[in-house]
Amino acid sequence: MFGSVKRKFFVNRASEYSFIIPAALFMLGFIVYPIIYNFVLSVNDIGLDFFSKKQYNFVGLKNYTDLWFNSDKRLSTSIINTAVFTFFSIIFTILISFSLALYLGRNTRISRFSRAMLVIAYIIPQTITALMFKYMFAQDGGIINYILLSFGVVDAPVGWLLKGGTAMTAIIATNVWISVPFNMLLFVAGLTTVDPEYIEAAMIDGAGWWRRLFSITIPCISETIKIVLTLGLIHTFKVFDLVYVITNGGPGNSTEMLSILSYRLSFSQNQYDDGAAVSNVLFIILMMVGFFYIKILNTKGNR
Amino acid sequence: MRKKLFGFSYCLGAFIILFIYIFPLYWLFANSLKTNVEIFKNPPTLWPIQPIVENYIAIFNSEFSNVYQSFGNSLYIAVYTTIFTIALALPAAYALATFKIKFGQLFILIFIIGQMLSQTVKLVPLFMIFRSMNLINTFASVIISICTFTVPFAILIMRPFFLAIPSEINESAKMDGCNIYTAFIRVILPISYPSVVVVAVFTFLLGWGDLVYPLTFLTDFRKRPMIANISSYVTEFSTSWNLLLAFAVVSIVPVVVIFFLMQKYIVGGLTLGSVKG
Repeated sequence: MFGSVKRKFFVNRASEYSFIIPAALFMLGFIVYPIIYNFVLSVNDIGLDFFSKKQYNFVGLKNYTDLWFNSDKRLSTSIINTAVFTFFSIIFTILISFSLALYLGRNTRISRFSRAMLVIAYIIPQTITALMFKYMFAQDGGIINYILLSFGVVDAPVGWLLKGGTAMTAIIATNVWISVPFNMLLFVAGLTTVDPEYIEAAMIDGAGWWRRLFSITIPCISETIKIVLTLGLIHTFKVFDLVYVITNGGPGNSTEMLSILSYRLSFSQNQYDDGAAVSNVLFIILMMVGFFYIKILNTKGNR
Repeated sequence: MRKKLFGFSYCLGAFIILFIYIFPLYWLFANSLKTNVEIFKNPPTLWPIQPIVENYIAIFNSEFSNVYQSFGNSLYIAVYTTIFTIALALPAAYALATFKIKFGQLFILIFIIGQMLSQTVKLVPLFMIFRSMNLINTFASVIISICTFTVPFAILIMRPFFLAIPSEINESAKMDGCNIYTAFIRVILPISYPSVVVVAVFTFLLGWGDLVYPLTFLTDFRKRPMIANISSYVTEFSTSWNLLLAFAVVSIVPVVVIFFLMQKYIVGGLTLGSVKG
């Protein structure tokens, strides 16, 4: 009798676990294992001959130090590029998407329609968006130069993608265009949680629009701001498609991000160990940001 | 009067915002109907002087661009990614929400990390793994690797849905003689179908639009989906923009169609995974 109870319990538990085991095995095999394996690759000497020899040759942190101290400074350059790209992308994305959320956050037909239409920009594959913007940023016949010329902002067509600084500007602008709709929706969702009574009370006390914005609305949506910031950091730091299509890291390596550097090292130069080392740097940075993201999610969940 | 004026200026503002977002798409389409000469004409023509469909005819007839095949490849990858993702994620999300799973929090943590991870972080190790399994140049390699971020994403979106289902429903299903599996299939799935649709739509779009995995794991151009092919056309043949743009338009037709059919789910579902923890 004891046995049957025990067995029934066991069968129940087993069938419960059978729901999660396939996904768990999949994650172990194709997420956890690759992360560990990536680390292993990065501390070994792995080149094209690895596939014939199948031999690991432990070199410690040599790949990292070589990359860091190499005279071409590609690693440090790509870290700086990624940081610049991320910083400006996030600043502009937050400012614009928050303003748009204030503007289009109402519950009228035109604002609901506009919000919905903006989302299409977000779901178009980034490769295609990148292609569109590459074409629009063209020096001759590009529509962006044409508009800037006709409004007198510039005197001569700008070769956007031909110089480092302007190429970076073009990529940031494209990324902001892509990220704004999603972040706007996050802000709209956050704004609906602001109690209108606070706003009314402040109005009665004679607080102006800016005062209400900074003293009530923004503190009330601090949770949303944190989420937008951390998610923005995560999404922006790992940018690949956009840069690959628009500049492929060029001109020179002025727009080479960590992800692009890793890809180029691994699959153009077959230096898999260096590629793994670079992507491990990216991984560590992502995990540091991710730590805050998980903390935010947890405090939200526990409430 | 003042209110009316305000309403008008509000609409004007919304229109300008919409314009900034719709114009690039319009521009893509309009230029795909131009000759290669007109595309770089200065000043640009807002609508082609003489709209032509030759670009489309050219890409559909050329051996090289392979539209039919790469469209088919895209569809294959996106559909199987969706099926595979749902099959793995749906039961897992249900279990994490309903049962007391040992290390459940750890699993959730791994899924959050999985969703955050950059694709390039997994790129080299996955390449090595697939190479040793002889999976390079197979759709399986691409589908598996896309699933490494769609499965966590799907689980994180669906778990809150399942958490919201009252436990009485599970209880009453059991009373009616359902076991744990039939309760899941006959009772839980039908009521959670909106979340499944949200996940299916987004997974399909992610599978359709993915670049880096097919680019790396499929070296054979005939096996590549549209997005991977177009990216190599951009870097290698950027002189024929007319064909490129036509190819780009074809590649986003399914995305636009899905957007208009599934708008309710897309706009509502977009922020789900990130806001609800």
